[in-house]
Parts: sequence; structure tokens; C-alpha cells
Amino acid sequence: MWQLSWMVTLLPNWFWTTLLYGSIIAFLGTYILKFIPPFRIYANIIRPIALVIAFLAVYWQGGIDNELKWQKQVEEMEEKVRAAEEKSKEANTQIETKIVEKTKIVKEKGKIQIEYINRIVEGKTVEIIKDMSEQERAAFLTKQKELQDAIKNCPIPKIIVEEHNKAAESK
Amino acid sequence: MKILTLLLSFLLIGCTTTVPVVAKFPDTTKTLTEKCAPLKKIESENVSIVDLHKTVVENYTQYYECSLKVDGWNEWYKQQSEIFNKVSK
Repeated sequence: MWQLSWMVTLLPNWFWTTLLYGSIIAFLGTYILKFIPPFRIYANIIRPIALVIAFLAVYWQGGIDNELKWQKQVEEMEEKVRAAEEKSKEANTQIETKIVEKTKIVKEKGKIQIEYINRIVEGKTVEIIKDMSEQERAAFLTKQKELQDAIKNCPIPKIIVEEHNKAAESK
Repeated sequence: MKILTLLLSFLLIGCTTTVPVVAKFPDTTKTLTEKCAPLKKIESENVSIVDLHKTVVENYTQYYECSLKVDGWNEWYKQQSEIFNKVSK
């Protein structure tokens, strides 16, 4: 059926409009023909044909109008989809940038904390204590000593390491 | 009869359909599709408190990196659904 439909769609829109007006004129013309005796017989033939053609033309005219209405809606929808795709890309870029920046901060924070402890262990504390008051410095040095004592005297028991590793497993 | 069949089939032609417009499922970002790295274990034999601290801090970092992805997915969903809902209105 679609092949037939496709063939009919090849006809220009004006064809159906012309056919509609033509058939209406022909239909009305048959009433005039009835008053002309030699053509009276043609009036009876032309009238039903004109009527059928008028019906078909009206049907197709409606179909064309409906199609145009749908095409307009499709175009509007396509435009909306295009705009949405653009917005979607923008949103993705925004999210990606945000995550990348925050990840950098998180990584940097972890790195700084590990380095801080390493510097205390290695005794490279000049930079850390330079801006501290006497009181703060004393408290810091106590903490440093406490850490160094813990490293020397308190190795982590194996069971703690094992349990930590088990907890880190996803299974 | 032939003419009637032809006329009927001609009338059926009017039942044409319009191809609907389909919105493409939105793409996501590269970072969001990356898997979260597994948590780190303590591998050395004589483990000091510093090694333990290092591993714990690294694992916290992993957690925050992964939670950023989860938050990212939530934001992605929220924004994309808002965009999609505007199209279908």
C-alpha cells in the first residue's frame, strides 16, 4: 500500500486543490447542462463522476493539510531535540570540569597529609614550625617525639594489618 | 467491481503515518564512566604506624574520588532529566 501512497504523494498539492474546485464546478455545471437539450444526457454521467472526484479531492486535501500540520510539529520537535542535545553537552562539560577540579583537590589534600607525616618522621620540620609560637612549638615537638617513639617501639601487629587488608577487599 | 476496489484502495492511501522524532539517549562524561579504584592494602612485612597512616589516607582519598563520581552521576541525572522533560513538554 505504501508504494501507492508514495506515488500519489508525488503529485503536487495544487493538483488536488484544482481537482476539488474543478469537480465542484463540473457538478454545478450539470444543473446548467440540464437546460440545454442536446447535452442533457451528459449531465447525468458527469454529475456522479464529479461527486466521486470531489469526495476524493476533499479527502486528499484534508490529508495534505494534516500532513503539513504534522511536518510542522516534527520540525518544532527536531529543533527542541537539537537544542536539548546542545544543552546536554554543555551540562556534561560543566560536570566533567567540576569533577576533575574536585578530584585534583582531593588528591592534593591526601598527598599533603602523607608528606606532612613523612617530614615529621624525617625531622624536616623547619618549614612546619617556623611560624609557630613557643607554646605551639613545644606541643608540636611533644607530638613529634610521641610519633618517633611509636615508630621505634610499637610495630603494627600482624593481625591488625591482616584485618585491615580484609576490610579493604571488596569480596 | 474493479472500479469499486480501485476506489477503496485509493481511499486507504490517506492513512499515512509520520515518522516520530526520537531524542537520542544523552552521552555521559569520560570521568563518570571510569571505575572506582579498589582500596589499597598494606603490603610490607614490618609495618610501622606511618605505613598504616599512609595507606589509610590513600584509601580516604580513593573514597572521596569515588564519591565525587557518585555525586557527578546524581547531578548528571538531575540535569539531563530536566533537559529531557523540557523537550517532551
